[in-house]
Formats: sequence, structure tokens, C-alpha cells
Amino acid sequence: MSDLISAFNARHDQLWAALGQHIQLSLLSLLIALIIAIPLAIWATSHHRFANFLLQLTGIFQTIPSLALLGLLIPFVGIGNAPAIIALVIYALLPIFQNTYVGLNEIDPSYEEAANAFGMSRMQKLLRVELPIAMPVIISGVRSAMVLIIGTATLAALIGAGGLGTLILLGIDRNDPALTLLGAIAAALLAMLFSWGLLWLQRLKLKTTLTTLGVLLLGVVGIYGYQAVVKPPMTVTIAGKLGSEPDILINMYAQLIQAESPKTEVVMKPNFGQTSFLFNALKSNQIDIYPEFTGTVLESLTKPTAADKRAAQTNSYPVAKRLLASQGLTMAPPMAYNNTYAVVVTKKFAKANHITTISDLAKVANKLKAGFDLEFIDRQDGYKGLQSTYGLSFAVKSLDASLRYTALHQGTINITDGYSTDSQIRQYDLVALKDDRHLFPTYQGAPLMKTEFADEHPAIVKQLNKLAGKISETDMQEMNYEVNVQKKAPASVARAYLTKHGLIKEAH
Amino acid sequence: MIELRHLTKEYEDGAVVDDLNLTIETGELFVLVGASGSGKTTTLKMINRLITPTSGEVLFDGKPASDYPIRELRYNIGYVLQQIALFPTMTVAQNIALIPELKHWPKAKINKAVDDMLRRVDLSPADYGQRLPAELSGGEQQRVGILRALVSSPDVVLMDEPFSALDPIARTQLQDLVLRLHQTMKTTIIFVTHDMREALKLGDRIAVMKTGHLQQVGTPDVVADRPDNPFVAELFADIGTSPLQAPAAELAPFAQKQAQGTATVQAIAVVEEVIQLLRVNQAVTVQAGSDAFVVTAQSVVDFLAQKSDVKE
Repeated sequence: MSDLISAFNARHDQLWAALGQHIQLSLLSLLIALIIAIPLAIWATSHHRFANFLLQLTGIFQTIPSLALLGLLIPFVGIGNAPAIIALVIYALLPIFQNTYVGLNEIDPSYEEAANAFGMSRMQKLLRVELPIAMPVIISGVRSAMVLIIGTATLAALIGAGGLGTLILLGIDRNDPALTLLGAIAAALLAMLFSWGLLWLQRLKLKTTLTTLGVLLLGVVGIYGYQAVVKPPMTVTIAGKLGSEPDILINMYAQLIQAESPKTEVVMKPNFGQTSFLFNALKSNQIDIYPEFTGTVLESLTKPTAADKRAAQTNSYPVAKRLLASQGLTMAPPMAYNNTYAVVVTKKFAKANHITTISDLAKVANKLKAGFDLEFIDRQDGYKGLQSTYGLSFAVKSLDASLRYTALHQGTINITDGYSTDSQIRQYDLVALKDDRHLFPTYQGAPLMKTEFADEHPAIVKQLNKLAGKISETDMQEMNYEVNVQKKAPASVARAYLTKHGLIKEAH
Repeated sequence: MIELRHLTKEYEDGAVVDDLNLTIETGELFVLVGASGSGKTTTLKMINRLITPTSGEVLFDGKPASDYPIRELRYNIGYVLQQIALFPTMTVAQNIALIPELKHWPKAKINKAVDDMLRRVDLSPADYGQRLPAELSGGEQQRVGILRALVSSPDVVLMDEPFSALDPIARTQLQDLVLRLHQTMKTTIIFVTHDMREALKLGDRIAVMKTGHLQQVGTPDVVADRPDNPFVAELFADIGTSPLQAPAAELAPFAQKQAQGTATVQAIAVVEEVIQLLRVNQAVTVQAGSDAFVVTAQSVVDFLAQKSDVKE
């Protein structure tokens, strides 16, 4: 509980912003779904064959896993709000359509007969008789849709649409349950609040209900319109993947750019999503810059030949740069640190057994109790490589990634895999052994942007290049530790590093 | 005046109404009576065009119903349903105000008309006006249903078995209400029922129907006393002549002189009532003015035996 309160205190600004995005996203999706589903259901009441088809179609929509749906939409509409809203609308269609259709269909036919006999027009029947009678059923459908939307909207964070999911994903990524809980509780409270609000709407007259919905629609559309119009002309958008490290890096980029040209508006989108989302966003000009790793470029974003792969073993950056150039992208020179797989032991263990490199492990192979992540055990550049390249063989248990540092710290195991810049290395007084036979691919971080953008903004590229060759693995471990464990703001951690190394002047 | 001319409705499995010819005078309370499947409801619904005739026509004051704009036609035809069908989301007052609103009456006129109608049937506007239909008894609901049909003073009101779902007491009260309203408002009413007693009680004239064909039209006296055919005779035979409905005085020839009555009825009570008393009493005294006689179960059996002899 106290963790939760301190997480709230540390991040309430972020929470309010995420909550605002979440509400905006949810309401707009709900309104669009209402505008589609209700008239469709009204129409379907007089076209029963179509109604069954539509019920099945919307039912099928709902069985598509939400992540898959988001993934399917990206090639068509890119990332950000559009695919998130489309996906949420698709999910909300079924409950609204189904309940409206059933609600209208279940009305006792004698009411229809009476309304006809009194000379009511089609529209009068609908507004004065049918919709009011079906209203409780319709509203309960809208409530299900609303709860579904608010819950699913947490996934919008994966594709850069923001919302409370940002906090949840960040919490998972940083192994900070309080943060995840904060996001989850906020989403649950929001769902309850809206559900209750809709119940209240049901008691009002149809006219009042429609007016309220109309005002909400205008409000949401107005906010979007305002944001679209007011956007300043010269902005640079910098996004980062999930986690503290990209968050620190994009803050450094922003500070470097603003140090040089204070008039440039820099928009930061931390925790924007995973690699493919960011890469697509960059290509579709939704973002301008994001930090990427040479290893990732070679593995997932380009198609290197066998010769490229051999060349990349000694120096990955030139190969990555060349392959990206053919896609119209520019990768600036990388920083010093290599964020790759690491074999990690405690400093105490290393000292006692005189181990500094992975090769040294051969001396103590019989004493090793390893706990590796399942993926690492199976990878050619993981434990299999340790066996073939280094000739090592020792007892191995599989351990979930989130547990391995704790297990090592507690002494259940004495060797594990990790990433070379993990803050836990600093936190638990561990050491990453030197990969002396170059088993692990190199993952050097550098800003990635469109070549077009780089050509148009040489001053920005020049500023970003100041980071080339800077930041060692220990530096990065330390900074990750400050953000993840000491809960410092990424912006201030970034500023402290840049000023200490003379890359920007001290703030006045 | 409403005329039905060669009115016919056929469905795939045959004619429901077959070449029906009728004239209903303005201001008349006209009853269509028949068993289920006689085509009486179909006939009624062809008058306000809820059902389109296969052939033939309905004339209002000489002009075919199909020549009127449908909504204008229906604005002037009130409708009362067996299912009552008060709109459940509207209050009693809103239900009654519905048709005047459709006719765009001014607000003040509507409010006054609604209050007047409620008072006319002894429902207090302040108390009942704001209630929802679900808060009323079946009889009260149908009372409102009748007001809803009558409030805008339509030329005709159609009533489709309006009381068949009600209990006997509510039914009697509402029948009296319809007679009273008809007398004061002089609205033409076409009333469909399968209950012969109801038809005889309400109708200025009665039309008897059987499987889509008209059997006889006439005043209640004519239809009951001078049936045109055996079907009509059979239909009305039981009514009023049922031995159970005969006055208790008719039991006099079968009196048991030795018996001691433990309950008493008046001679004008019906035999049915005597039977009810005999379930719990050995003997019942029938009081006729200063005279009295005592009957037992045996007396009633003898009386009924004699009645059925006569019938055969």
C-alpha cells in the first residue's frame, strides 16, 4: 500500500495525463461504436436475415485477440490513435448492436400494433415507443461495451496511443508492481465510474440522454480538433521503446536539441511501444527520431546477407547503417555501450575465483549452478553458444527473466544471463563477464531517423552526434539504477549526465 | 356512417373474411360477435387498415378508406386492444396525451382534456396521472386504454375484445363504463367480443359471424329471440335460459316439506346461488315475500332433470 502511495506521489502528473488520454480514447471509441451500431441495429430489426449475419460478423470481430487486431491494423493505418480507436470500436460493436437489436425485437408486438393504430410515423414509433422501451437493454449493452473498451484501451499503450496502459506496461517493464497496480486500479475505477454514469443516464428521458451524448461527442471532437489546429509548425517528435533506458536517451536527445535551438518544440513519447511499432511510426512520419540498436536492426529490421552477418560480428554499426540507408533511413554513430546478452555473477564470486571473462568459467564449471531464461537456453547465441564456442558445460535450470537476479542475489544460483546495462547489476553488486570470444551479437544504441529528416536538420544531427562514443555500460547501469530503483526522473538523470560530461551547459 | 362492401380477406389457407357486407350507423354501438376464427378481429383491423383487404372496401361517409391518407384516417379512429398496451415507459397522463400530441394540440388544451377524461372515469388526475401503467390493476389499465382512445373525440372507436383478459367484476364495471361513455359522447363504437352475454348487454345492434361469414345482424332482442338460423339460435340458446340462471322461485315444485333450512336466499336469487349454499348446508330456505319453502340437493337435481327433459 505504501508503495502504491509513493508511486502515486511520484507519478501523479503522468497518471493524470494517462487518465486523460484513456478517457478521450475510450469516449471517442464508444461514441463511434454507438453511431455505427445503434442505427445498424434499428435497420436490422426490419431485415432479420441481415441481422443474423451482422450478429455473427460482430461476434467474429470479438474473438480476434486484441493484440492480433492491433497488429493487423498497423499496415493500414499506422500506429497511434487511429488503430487503437478502430480496434476499440470493433470490440464495442457486438454488445451494443446485439442489445439494441434484441431490445427492439423483444418488444411486445401489441405496442407496435397500438402505435400503428394511433397513426404514429416510423420515426415517432422509434423515438417515443420503441427506443424508450428497449432503453434498459440498450444501456446495459453500452455499459458492457464501455467496460470492455476501458479494459482493452490499456493495450493502446503498445501502439503509441498512450493511456493508462503506459503505466501498466512501464510497471511490468521496470518490475515495479506498484506502478502496474496504479494503472490497473485507475482503469478499474474509470470503468466503474463510467458504468455508473451510464446507469444514471438510463433514468433520464430519451431526449436528455441524446442531448448528453451529443454534448460529449462535441466535447471529444472539439478536443481533437483543438489539438490538431494548435500543433506548432516546427516540432521534432522523439519516441522511445518501453523501459528506463530509452526514456533516459530520448531525454538526452531532447535536451541536446533544445540546447542548440531553444525555439524547436520537442515532443517526447516515452514508452511508445515495441520495436515494430516504432519502426513503422518512423517510416510513416508519425515520429522523427528514436533510439535503436544495431543488433535489432540486423536481426529484425533488415535482411542482411551471410557476408553482412560475418562483417557485423566484428563491427555491427557500418553494416546496420548501410542496410538502413537503402530503406531511406539514417542511423547516427552509436554510443559506447553494448547492450547485449551478458553472463552475470556476483562480484564476490568473481573475485574469489579470479574470473573476469567467460573463458575463465571453464576453471569453475563444476561449481556453477546456473539459472537461465528459457529463451537464452534455447538460443544459438545463448547457452548453446556457450557450449559450442566456449566448450562450457554446467548444471542449468530455467528461470523466468524477472526472477533471475533475485535468485542470484539470494544465492540459489551463482550465474545467470541478463543484459549488460541492467540496473540490477549495479543494484546487487554484480559483474557482467567479458565476452572474450565474441559470442553475443553487438547491440550498440544510436538515434535512428529518416535520411530526409537528417538532411533537412543538420544541426539536430550534429547535436545528437555528440553522444557518439559516449556512455559506457557502467554509466548506463548506473543511470538505469537511478531511474528504476531510486525513482529519479529520467529527465534529471539525463541532464546530470550531459552536464557532467560537458555536452550541454549547466542549467541556470 | 361506415359501410363494409364485399369485404374479403384471404390468406394462403383460405378466406378469413368472405364477402362481408355491413352498414354501421353514426353514433351506434355495434358489436361483432363470434367464436375464435370467425373473422371478427380481422374485420375490425381492416377498418383502420392494420390489415389490407384482399378485395372489397370500407367506406367512411361514402369515401373509400384507402383514399384517406393513412395517418389522418387513423387519427380519427380510436383503438382499444385486448392486450391493453399502455406504453410502459409513459405515465398514465402521457399515455392519454399521446394522440392529442400527435395531432399537435396546444399544451394547455391537452392537459385539460387529460384531466377531464380521468375525472370522467373517477380517477383523480393528481393521483393517477403520474403513475406508470405497471402500478395500476388490469381494470384500471384498460380504463386508461379507453380514455386514450376517446380523448381526442375520434369519429369511431374500435375495441378488440377489450375486456376478455379481465376478471368478472372489472369486466362488468368496464362494460357499464363503455355504455355510459357512449351515451354521453355519442361516439360510434365497433366492439368485438366472443362473449354473447357481453354482446347482448352492450350492442345497439349485433352482427354474428362464423368462419368469415355473416350469420345475422340485428338488435339484441331480434338476434336472441328470432334467430335466422340454427347456429345463431344455438349460440344464444343458453343465455338467459340456462336452468342455473333461473330464479330460485322455480324450485318451488320440488320443495322438501320435512327439511329444516339452515341458510336463506331470496326467491329472485338464481339457482346457481342455491347450489353454492347446498354445498355446505343440508337444506336451504327460499324466501319469497311472506312465503317460504325449503329445498335440498334432491330438489335441485329433480329441477335440472326436468329442464333437460324439456330440451330433448
